[in-house]
Amino acid sequence: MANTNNSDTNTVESVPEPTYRAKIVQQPLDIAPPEQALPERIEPEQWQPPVKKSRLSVGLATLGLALTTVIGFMLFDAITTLASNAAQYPIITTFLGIMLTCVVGGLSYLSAREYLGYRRVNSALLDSSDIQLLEQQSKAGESLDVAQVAHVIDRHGTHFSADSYAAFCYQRYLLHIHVDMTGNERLALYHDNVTQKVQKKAREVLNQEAVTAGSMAFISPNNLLQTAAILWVSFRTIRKVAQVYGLKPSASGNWKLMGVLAQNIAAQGIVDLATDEIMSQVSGSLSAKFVENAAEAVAAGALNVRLGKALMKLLK
Amino acid sequence: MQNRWSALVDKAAQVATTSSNKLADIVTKQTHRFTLTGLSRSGKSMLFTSILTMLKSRNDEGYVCLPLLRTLPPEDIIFTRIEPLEGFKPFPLTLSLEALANQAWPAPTDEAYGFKLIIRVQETHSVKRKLLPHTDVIFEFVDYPGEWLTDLPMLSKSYAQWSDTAWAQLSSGPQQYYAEEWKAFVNRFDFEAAPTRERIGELVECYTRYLKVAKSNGISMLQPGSFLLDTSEFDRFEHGFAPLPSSITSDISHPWFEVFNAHYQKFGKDWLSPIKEDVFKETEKQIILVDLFEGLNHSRQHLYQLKETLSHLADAFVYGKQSWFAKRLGKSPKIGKVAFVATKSDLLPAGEHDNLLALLEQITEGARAKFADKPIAFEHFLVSAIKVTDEGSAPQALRYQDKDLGYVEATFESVPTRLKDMESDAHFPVLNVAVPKDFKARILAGRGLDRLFQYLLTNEEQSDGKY
Ligand SMILES: Nc1nc2c(ncn2[C@@H]2O[C@H](COP(=O)(O)OP(=O)(O)OP(=O)(O)O)[C@@H](O)[C@H]2O)c(=O)[nH]1
Ligand SMILES: [Mg+2]
Repeated sequence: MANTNNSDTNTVESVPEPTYRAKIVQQPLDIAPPEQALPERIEPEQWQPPVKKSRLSVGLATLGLALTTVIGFMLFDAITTLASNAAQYPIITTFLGIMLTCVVGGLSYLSAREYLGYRRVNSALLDSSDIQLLEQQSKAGESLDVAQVAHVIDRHGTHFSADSYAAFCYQRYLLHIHVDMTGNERLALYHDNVTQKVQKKAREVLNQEAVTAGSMAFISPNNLLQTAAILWVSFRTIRKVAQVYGLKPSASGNWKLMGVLAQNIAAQGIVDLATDEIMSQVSGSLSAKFVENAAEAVAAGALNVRLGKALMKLLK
Repeated sequence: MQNRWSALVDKAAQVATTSSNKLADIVTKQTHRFTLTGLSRSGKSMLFTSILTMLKSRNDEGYVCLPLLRTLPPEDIIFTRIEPLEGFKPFPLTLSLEALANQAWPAPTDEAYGFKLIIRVQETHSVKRKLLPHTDVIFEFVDYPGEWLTDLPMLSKSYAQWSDTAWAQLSSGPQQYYAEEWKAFVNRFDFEAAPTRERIGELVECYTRYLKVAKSNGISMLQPGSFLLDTSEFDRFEHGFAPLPSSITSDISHPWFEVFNAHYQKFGKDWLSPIKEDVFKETEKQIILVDLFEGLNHSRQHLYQLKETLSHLADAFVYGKQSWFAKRLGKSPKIGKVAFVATKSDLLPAGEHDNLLALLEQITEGARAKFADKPIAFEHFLVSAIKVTDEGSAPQALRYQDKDLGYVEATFESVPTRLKDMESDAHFPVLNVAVPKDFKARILAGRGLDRLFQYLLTNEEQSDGKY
């Protein structure tokens, strides 16, 4: 029952612990260890669309001219109403004619330049369908080849024009990448740090441009000037949004955009007609004119957004 | 997300009782409790120290850190804050950082610490932002001595069962080389004499000595691990026990059996059960840390033993009959998540990481088999909480600051991807790494924590792809 001696403890074998061969060779070095650098720091975002000074002043001058013209036209209206015979005032008529020509000329110049600017780098558009394809594959749970993903992303990143927001985002993306990241992880980081951020910025820019388009429509005294101004703002919108993306629309994209642009101008014309009609039934007072212009301004802003959205879709 | 609905209901109640100017102060709360399981020295405390340091540096100082933690992008984070967890001592983060600053590794943990990490995130969706401007993502963590973990399987065993397994275990595997003294002692011991306090003390002391020697030689399956901690509140001198040969444990009227059985019951009831209640609360998200270097340092046998230990742990604690999972089955459609993590991956050249991951997958095989037919998702990760090594002159080499030898280059042979491929007479001696001076930069250079937490934070429905 109470047996002291037990069989288990009798079998204490003295197995010596085996010796093992080391699979690591160590060798002291004669150099000082390098210091590990702290990672890069992300400063608060401060990307600005690159603006050249002269551009701003021409724009401002045009704006000033436009305002002067509004006043000029009002004066002219007043004067022509007072003076039953317009032929008696050749100087004023000539002056106003020149002013008008200047404004129209200025706006045409700006539009032409925006247009040319955006034609120039036309060929740089990269089709991003390869990235989208990879994203779909990744969503479907496939594990992607690192080298392939890195290659595709690199091709996009290096094509962004240097001062674009997209290039800025791409630089940030690069800060986040380590060698041990998988293809899927890289793609996800690219999506977060570049694609998504750029879209967000483009929307911001577009909203600003809508306000500009609205204000231009608002202060334009007649349809000719309004159309010219909208043309200019439209080109500017295209340029600014393209600047965020760091890409320019391709030739085929151009035609689509031109189509949207033409539709916009036509639509603005219809808005003009409609507001004119309503206004003629209200009264001819200054406040009625104000309301009319406000309605057109809203329409112009909205139409500009439409243009920008079409562009974003093309660039995406 | 976890409790989206209840959170919304709470919110509605809050909104109803709050005047509109206070609307902006309302916070949605999203609490994540993780159970971090890791044997002694597996890197639990370093992992906590590291994740806290990283989040703070990323948020307050703008360092590029944790890029793959995509659910918590730095631009959406308003602040991160550490708060104590009710019922626990606060995690000694400053002590850990001070130790590192003094070029020493943080001391082994000898009691339970808890902390809450609160990350306030701003709502990005514009409509929601008006209503619920921000969300507090709250992590609750508990750090504890790894020795406690090994003891949990004892709760589901009787003394006789435990004693027989423990006795069989110490007679086999790599631990048999360290158990000789203990076995000889038992052999000489007179079990006819009554179990007095002194004699019990002698026996328990000798057994504890075996545990300590075996531990310092890389043995993971050591029970009771609590005896290894001199700070334990359980008084092993008064209520200690040890495994006895089956000739005694098969006789339930044997005085030694009676005494040890009583002590064992007390150990389970007064010591282990409360620990299990407080520290190892049931959660849907489990992180299981595995230090493969301890095994590689010794031998293939040690690795096999590690595999066995993990399997026992999964059995008794994580997915046992009385586990959280069994209780919740049928109640919730949610999927449990388990992350198996091999720590200290910086101790191997980058080219060997794939092999290390494959080895980890092999080591967790037994544990995973335990939940093969349950809705539990799992994934394997490599993590370095701090990167103490530099690149070497060859892809198979790395450099580090050795405690004795100065700056050293170590060249590795390839790590086996399967246990059976490892030669039985070879080992990878663990590098004797000193804490480098630039420890903060090296913590920030740690890898894998972002991947790990991203995995645990995303819900199945919203996870986009297998990242
Ligand atoms: N090279 C390297 N070593 C690490 C890392 N993490 C932990 N270590 C080493 O592993 C040791 C143990 O880490 P701890 O975090 O204290 O382990 P623990 O799991 O808290 O251990 P207990 O408190 O005893 O349960 C440290 O002292 C370091 O030497 C890592 O990321 N890289
Ligand atoms: Mg610890």
